[in-house]
Amino acid sequence: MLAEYLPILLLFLVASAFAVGSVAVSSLVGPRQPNPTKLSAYESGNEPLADVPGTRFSVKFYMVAMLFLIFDIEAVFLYPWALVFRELGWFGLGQMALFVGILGVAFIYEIGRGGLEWD
Amino acid sequence: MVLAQDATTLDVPDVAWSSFAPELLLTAAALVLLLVAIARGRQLLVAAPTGVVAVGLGVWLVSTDVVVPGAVAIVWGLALPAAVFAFPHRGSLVQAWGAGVALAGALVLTGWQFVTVLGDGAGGMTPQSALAGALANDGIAFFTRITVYLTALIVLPLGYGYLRDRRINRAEVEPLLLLAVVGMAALGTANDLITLFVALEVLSLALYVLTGLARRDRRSQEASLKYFVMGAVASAILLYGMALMYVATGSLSLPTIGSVVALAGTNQLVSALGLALVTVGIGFKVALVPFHLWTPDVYQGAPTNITAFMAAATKAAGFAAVLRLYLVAFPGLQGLWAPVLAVLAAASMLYGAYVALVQRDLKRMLAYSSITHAGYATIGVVAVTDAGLSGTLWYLLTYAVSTLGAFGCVIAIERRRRGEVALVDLRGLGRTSPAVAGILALCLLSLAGMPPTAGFVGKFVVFQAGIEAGWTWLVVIGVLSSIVAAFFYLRIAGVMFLETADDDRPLPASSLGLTTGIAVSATLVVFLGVQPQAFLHLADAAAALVR
Amino acid sequence: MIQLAYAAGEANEVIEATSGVIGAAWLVPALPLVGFVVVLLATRTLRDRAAVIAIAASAAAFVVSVAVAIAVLADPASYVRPMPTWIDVGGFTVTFDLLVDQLTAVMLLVVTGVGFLVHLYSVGYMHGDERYPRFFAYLNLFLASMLILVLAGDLLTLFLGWELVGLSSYLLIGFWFEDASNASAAKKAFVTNRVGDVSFMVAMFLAFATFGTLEILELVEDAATLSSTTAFALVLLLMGGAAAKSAQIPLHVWLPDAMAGPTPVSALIHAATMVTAGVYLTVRMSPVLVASLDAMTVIAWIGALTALLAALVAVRQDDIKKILAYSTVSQLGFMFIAVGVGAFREAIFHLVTHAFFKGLLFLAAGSVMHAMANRTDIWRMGGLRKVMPVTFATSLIGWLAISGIPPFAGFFSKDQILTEAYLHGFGGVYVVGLVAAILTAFYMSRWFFLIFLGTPRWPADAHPHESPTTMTTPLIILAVLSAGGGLALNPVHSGPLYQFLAPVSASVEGLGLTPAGPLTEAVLIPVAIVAALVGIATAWAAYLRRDVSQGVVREPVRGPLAELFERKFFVDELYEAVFTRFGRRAAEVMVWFDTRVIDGAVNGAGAASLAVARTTRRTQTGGVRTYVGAMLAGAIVVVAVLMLQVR
Repeated sequence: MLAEYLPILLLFLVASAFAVGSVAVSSLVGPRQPNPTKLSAYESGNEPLADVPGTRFSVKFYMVAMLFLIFDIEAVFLYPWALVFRELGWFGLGQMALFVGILGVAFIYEIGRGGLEWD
Repeated sequence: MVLAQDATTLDVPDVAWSSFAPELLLTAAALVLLLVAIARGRQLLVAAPTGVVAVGLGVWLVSTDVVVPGAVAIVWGLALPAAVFAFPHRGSLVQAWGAGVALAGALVLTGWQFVTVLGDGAGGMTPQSALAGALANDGIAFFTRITVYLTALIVLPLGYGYLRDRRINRAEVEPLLLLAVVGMAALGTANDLITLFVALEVLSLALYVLTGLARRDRRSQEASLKYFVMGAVASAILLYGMALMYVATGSLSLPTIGSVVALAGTNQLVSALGLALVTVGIGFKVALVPFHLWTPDVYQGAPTNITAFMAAATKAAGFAAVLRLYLVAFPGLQGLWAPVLAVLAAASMLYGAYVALVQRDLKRMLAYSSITHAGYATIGVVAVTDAGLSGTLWYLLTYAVSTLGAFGCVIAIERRRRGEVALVDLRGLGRTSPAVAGILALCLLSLAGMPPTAGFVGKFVVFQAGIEAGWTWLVVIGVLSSIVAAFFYLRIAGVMFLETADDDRPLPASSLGLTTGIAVSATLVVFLGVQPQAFLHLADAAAALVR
Repeated sequence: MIQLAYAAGEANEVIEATSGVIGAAWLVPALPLVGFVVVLLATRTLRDRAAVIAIAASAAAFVVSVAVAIAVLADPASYVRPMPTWIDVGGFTVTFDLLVDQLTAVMLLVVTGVGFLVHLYSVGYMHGDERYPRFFAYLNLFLASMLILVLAGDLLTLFLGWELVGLSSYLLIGFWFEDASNASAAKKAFVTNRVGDVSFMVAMFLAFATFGTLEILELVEDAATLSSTTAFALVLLLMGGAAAKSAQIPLHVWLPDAMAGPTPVSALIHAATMVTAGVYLTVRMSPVLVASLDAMTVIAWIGALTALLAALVAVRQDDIKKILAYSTVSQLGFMFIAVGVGAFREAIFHLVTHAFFKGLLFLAAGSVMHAMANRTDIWRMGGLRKVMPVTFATSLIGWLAISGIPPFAGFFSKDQILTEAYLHGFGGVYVVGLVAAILTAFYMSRWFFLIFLGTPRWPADAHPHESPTTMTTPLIILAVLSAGGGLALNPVHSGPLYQFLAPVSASVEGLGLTPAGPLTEAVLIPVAIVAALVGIATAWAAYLRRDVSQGVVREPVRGPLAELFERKFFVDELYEAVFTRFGRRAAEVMVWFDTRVIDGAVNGAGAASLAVARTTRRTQTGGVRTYVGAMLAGAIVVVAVLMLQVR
């Protein structure tokens, strides 16, 4: 009964084996010659500003990230809708207007509460 | 596939707006109230256009012979600007009235649905499915709507003064409450796995925020975070279970799953795994042991009116989903899940009752009692009979009114004390304020299942269904745990009436809203206990499901 | 018209009555219920005068009861007074219909009659109490509940009254809650009764599963169709409920503690009415009982053991009310002997006479305590005969009645129970009952002698005096009833009461019971009288022949046994060890886990904010981690169970 899912399982196993294996092999085989530069955190070529573990991010980063996510998802919805826009006709327009309208209210609320102001 | 290249016209689903009219109204109200919240001094800028649109919509509806929804739209469209005029500098009152009228409107619309669609005139119900089977307008949906809307309508005045006293009467409270209500009602209506999951998330997200409403109270913050983290884990498990159900049956629609799942060709192992994970996820939402651990912390930490709302309404909505999942989608696997659910119910009843015994904080004690009550309600589910189904629906209503009354009294006591209400704080309350003490005692007796209160009828009906379905041992455990439970409910009553206050403790607060909320709950506790007939008939008729 | 399946004599006709006297029967519980509400509301304005309303309500209930009883007497039948429906769901219907028949009539008279007298008595007894009106309100609530219980035409409605009497009993036992032990006695009574309720509720479920109804008349009619196993289970479950309410072994522990309540309460609730509810229930269901002789035998033995053991405990108690409390337990045991051996009418007869003489004795005890400024040690009394002549004279009658001396009421009822036990073949029960009867005469004589006779032993600062008229009037009325009640009601085995109750008591003819031996009533009656005399004589020799004030008392019961009796067979200690401690330990174990986490998170307020934040953060993550861990563990178990079932 489960046979149909066997390929999925196999793929899963192979993928994990590859991931685990490559990390394991490189750590086993690779030469180990640490120096301070190698051990420092990679910050896009810049000097790290502080020790990363233990410091706190400003909550504002999360705010922006979340807001971005919401409107990103909106865009994801808009793409398939745009593809079948003609076929859906007025009905589709109305539905999407409703959807965007609801998000619009959220957007207005967000501005009203100062969610987009950094300070 | 939607992405098909050929330009044939797609089948446009028939949107039966009336099938979710109450939720539509509440969502609209929530959005408008959000805008009102940020309008500060210019509330009329939002209220007036909204009013015009709502009234216009209402007039159009009435002119097309959709009289009741039209009237509701007109009333709400007039009420909002009126509230803005009436309370020019008190934004939270506008919010409360706006939400209250919307909830009352939702109740009216639910009644209208019943009259026009559901009711068959002879006291029974004719279930309807809508939105291509995504929604089921049947007894479960109807009863859940009633319970949830009623609860929210009582919670609004109950918590108004409380939130103001604590300076956490933020304008977002009412919109979030309304959204949670929409999620709950949708959970009771959901007839496929996706709708069910989305509804669950809508209500959960709103509740996470409401739990953490008291931003300066560490415990509220902690509760919110705990609830969120654990809720996310539970949601993930539930979602995984749903995915497996889809794998096993090839359908998301609950009735289709129900007809496929027991067939010989279906992969029993995958369905069982899916069923198990769904049981875990949904068990978390309704707080069954051993998935209950969040309950005491969250109930204790959240603002008390939110706790009351969670206890009463979330339980009702969660059990609506439980009923629909197990009785519509999984009745074929009854042999698998019923024993497991029965064990969970037994564990919940015993654990909740026992642990509540040693609690000193009133809210925490009520939290453990809610775990016990989840166990009682489950008895009706495992019965897998019409009697069990209606018993559970009815039980949830009685539990909702009793627990609302109890939490209302806690609010009354808490408002003056500005802190936790421990058992010792109740000493001599029977002397100093007999009304609050009397009503609290009444509600506790109802929770303990003493006749002639609502709680007794609730327990009796559920136990009766359990016995009829052959779950004698479970019912015996239920009755036994109700003795233990009686002990701690009684201890509260004893502290209030049989002990004297050792100093001048502040009297409970009273305000019009609080008094109204408590009085309505207490009245319902007595009324549903003495004259349960009307609602019992409805619960009975609710057994007709979309299958 | 259904003919009821009471084989005993002429069966009752079932008549629906909406008008006339029976139609007004609903007034009987309604009046005190209204009284309860009105008194509570009016207390603030009327103060102590509010009590008058309560007394008037009880008097009115009594008057209506008399009218109802006369109507039943004039035209015997089972009247059903239709009332609104309570629950009607899925073929399960419960109504508030009242059932009025001969049994109801007797109970109505006892409850409202004694109830009214106790109201009257309380006027004097509770005088000056700061919550004087509230006491009467509670008394009215009790009366209403008890009347609902008695009038209920449906087991579930009966259960409603059953729970409400428990509730009002709770309120009244704990009435003087300033003393913490009173409050805990109230709780003990309530919780012990909940244990019985479990049994009762399961009995109802079983009955409904078997018969499809809980309506008493229908249950009783269909009782003959019961299989013997079902009947056995059903009867024992009902008995479980009855045993808790009527303080039978092993659920008797609450009644002696309940004496913490005011004495009128002990008289009304814990002697005359509420505790007899279990007897009423079993007699009401007698056609079900006779379906299982085995279950009846169990009941008879429970009754016999209770009668004996409680009497033994009473022998070594020194508290004026505790002796009466154990005596009540013992006498209730006699009633259950009667029920168990199939002498249902004798059980009701004893219930009635016991209400008279035990109500009387309790009220007399209250009168004595009133006079002695609430002293309760009978060793510090004595010689009260002279200062309290009325109390003395009435107690004398009560003492003779309970000891079983003819022609006082207790003699007839107790003797008839023992005789029936013997004639129905329960020889062992008879012997045990006879021993209990001897002990009864002994401990009641001890009680009476040490309080009223001999030389005064009270402390110098006590100034005993006769109680006011409001208190002595009920005493006199009850004394008259205790003296002549037995003779008037049922002097011989088929007396008027016996005939009257015939249609509502199941017959045991079909059970094939044969006498335990060759003895006949002509022998058994003298044996009973001799037994009573032996008990009295022993007490006389021990407590009256010599002057007990000299401290040379030789208790007839001595040694380790006496210790056993004095400590009430260590039942309380046993329960404490087994249930209370075990329960507490279990709760502690369950709560250990999350209290630890929570306390960690909650404590520590007041520290520097950073430190607090750090602590909180640590405990918080710990908490959530543990919680999620526990949840996943549960999930794994659920998954495993379901998967294993499929395989």
